[in-house]
Amino acid sequence: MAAGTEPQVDDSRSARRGNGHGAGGQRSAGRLQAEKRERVAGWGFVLPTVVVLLLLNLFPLVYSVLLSFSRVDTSTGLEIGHITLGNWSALFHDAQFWGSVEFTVIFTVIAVIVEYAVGLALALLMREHLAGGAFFRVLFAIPMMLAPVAIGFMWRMLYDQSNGPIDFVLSHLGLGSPGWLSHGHWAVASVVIMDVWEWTPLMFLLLLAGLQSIPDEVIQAARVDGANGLQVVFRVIVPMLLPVSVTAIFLRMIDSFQVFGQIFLLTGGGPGTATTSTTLFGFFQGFQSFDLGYGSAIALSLLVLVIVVSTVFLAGTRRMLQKVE
Amino acid sequence: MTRRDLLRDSLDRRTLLKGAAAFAAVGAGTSLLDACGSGGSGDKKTLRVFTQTGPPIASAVAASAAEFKKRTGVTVKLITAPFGQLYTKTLADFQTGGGSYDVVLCASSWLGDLHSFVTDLTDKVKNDKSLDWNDVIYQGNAQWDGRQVAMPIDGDNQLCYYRRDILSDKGLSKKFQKEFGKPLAPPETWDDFMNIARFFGDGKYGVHGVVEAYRHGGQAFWYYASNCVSYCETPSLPGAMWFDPDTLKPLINNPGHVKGMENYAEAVKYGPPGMINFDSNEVRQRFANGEAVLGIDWDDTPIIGELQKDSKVKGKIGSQLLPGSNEVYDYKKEAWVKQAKPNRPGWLAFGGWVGVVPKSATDVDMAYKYLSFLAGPKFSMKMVTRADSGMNPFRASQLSNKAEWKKAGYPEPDLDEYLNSMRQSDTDPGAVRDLRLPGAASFQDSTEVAAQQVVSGQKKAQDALNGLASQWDALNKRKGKDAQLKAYKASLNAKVTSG
Repeated sequence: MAAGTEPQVDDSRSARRGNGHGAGGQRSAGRLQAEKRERVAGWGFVLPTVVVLLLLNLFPLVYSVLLSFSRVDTSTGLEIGHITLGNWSALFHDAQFWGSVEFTVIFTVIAVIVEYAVGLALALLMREHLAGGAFFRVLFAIPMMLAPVAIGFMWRMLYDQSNGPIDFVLSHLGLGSPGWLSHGHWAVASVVIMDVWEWTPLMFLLLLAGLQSIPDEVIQAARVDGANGLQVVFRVIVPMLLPVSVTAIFLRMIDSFQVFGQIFLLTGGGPGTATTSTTLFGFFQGFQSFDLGYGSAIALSLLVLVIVVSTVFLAGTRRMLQKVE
Repeated sequence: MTRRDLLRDSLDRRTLLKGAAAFAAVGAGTSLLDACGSGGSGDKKTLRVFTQTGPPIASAVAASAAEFKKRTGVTVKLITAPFGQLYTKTLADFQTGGGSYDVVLCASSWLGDLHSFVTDLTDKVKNDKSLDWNDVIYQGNAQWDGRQVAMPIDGDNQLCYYRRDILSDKGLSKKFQKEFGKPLAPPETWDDFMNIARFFGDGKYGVHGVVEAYRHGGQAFWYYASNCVSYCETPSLPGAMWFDPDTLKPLINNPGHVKGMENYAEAVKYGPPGMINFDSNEVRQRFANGEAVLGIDWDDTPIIGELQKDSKVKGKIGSQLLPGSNEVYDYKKEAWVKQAKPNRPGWLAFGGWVGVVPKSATDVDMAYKYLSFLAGPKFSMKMVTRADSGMNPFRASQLSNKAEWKKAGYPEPDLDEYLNSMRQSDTDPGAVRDLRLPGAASFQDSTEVAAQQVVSGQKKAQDALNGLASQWDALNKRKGKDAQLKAYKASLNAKVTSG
């Protein structure tokens, strides 16, 4: 059957629906009715999905907004009390909350920058069609395939001061243990290293895909014009990679703001509050202390923070992209 | 043929709807099966017991399963969570009416939050002859508002343990005397304790000074408190450890706590590397591995050290009350008060594990029967003399029946000291009680965070404790200050043990 015969099929169906009366007006009225019926049927099919999506996305959001403005009593069950600004007012005066925001921002900035730099370097290396490239591509991708739980435990063992291999190697090199998870600054560094190890592969894969879409001719032309290796990278490749870079950094940035599982397992937010991310702080308040109203306020404040940072980032990069174009 | 035609031919609307209905049915069925398997309501032939990830406590439940099944035909299904998540998961299930558990084994100090969700066992206990109730010395800790809302299955003191062989070494003692002006001996005061820790601290004698728990979520709260009790509370100052019993003003930032916190923070330097991340289990294993001269812990450290197969310290463990202090901070006078002899109160830390039966349990009678079996004289005696059960003496008979301990392999003279120090703590009329208030887990959690801030050098002791006091005050306000004050006073008047 050819595609061009489809209207005929429709016509014959319309005629059948018209029950053989044959008048053009009746035929078009029948068609309208059929279209209406199809539209209703279409909505019928789509509606369950829409309802489920609304329930899954919108309801929790609205509910957590409600919780954040309520005093929640959990002594006899989940009772939402009167509307109050108490949670939000407490949040703005809570030094621990601001500490968690500070850690989250520092963590995100350092981790994403390092992941981008290492990912780009690896992608440039792989673009050179090294022997065993396919093997290395798979090898580099393994960390991001692991479950966060496994990663948290694995790094906890690696950093262990008594039996961990990292300190074992350091001691054989004549270097003392920095106390990876015992001191605030080192604990932050440990968390960043773990995140870089886990997520650099994503950067690498995205950037490699971007690199492979840059025509060789462009690079060769730059070389013919006298550009050295560094100039090719920074004047040609990096600008041409900008759209992919923006996407990759944007995705990682949003993800880093929400970091939870790995830190929960590696440091539990400690020592003290040195590695307590905002999500972890919200979890402790909401589910450890059972202050659901306060926990919701923390979660929503993180949402606001992510929206603000994302908007600023996208606005900033849009100008850069326009320049490149 | 276009894709659309193909689809039309192979999948008309009726077929599609049939398929969708079948898919939905399968999905719903799967969800239902899943719900039944992972929580939901249980059946009468399975008892779902929830507690912390083992070995402590969980291994006692595992050990009880075969015998309980033989007696009742009911299968015990053990469900566990790490200690740091036990409170959260329990309360979440209770509040949402999840009904996932028939029995929960948890901390007695959480009863302030749990009591309204659990079955009152008062009458059942009264009528249960197999329980030999008068023998149980931890009855009070399983009560709330005078009602028996839980079953005690464990007794808890934090004590001080030391390596007898090392502290009696004459060569080391001479060196110690040269440095600190007195011979090596079991520490009577915290000053002695810290000096011994400093002496061995860097491991130059092949062993570290001390082992304690510091990990957030690893029961560090009680280890921190062990460092403070003798500086804060005497029989004439009941309740001075936590709040002013008249006003509920937090006393957690007074000079007694600051002194205890400073010792606790300094001691981390004298333990095995990475001690800031040790939880209670690691403390026991490190002590059994011969890595420290001194240890602070519940009654588990010696029994693991004496009975665990690979222990390096069998027959070398001394036990005593926690070190004392020659001065106590009197919060009423706002001054340090000198003591005629070191103040060494017992410290009923944690107050013992208890078992509760949620109101939502499938078979409340069977759940009670299980708790009665677990706490019964015969089975519990077997458990308290086992290295990994996590159950410690909570009956008078368990402290006096030396034959059972010897049968389990516990050597003398360590046994005598062990049983005596527990008895001393249990029967001390001035023993410090644990914090028993609604929201206890939040108070404990915030203290662990503050302690870690000090230990890791993020904050000074006084600053961290001032912040903690504000948090505690805010928490009481949120919970309702009057109700909290009433609960705190009640917790001080309640008799925790029959000592």
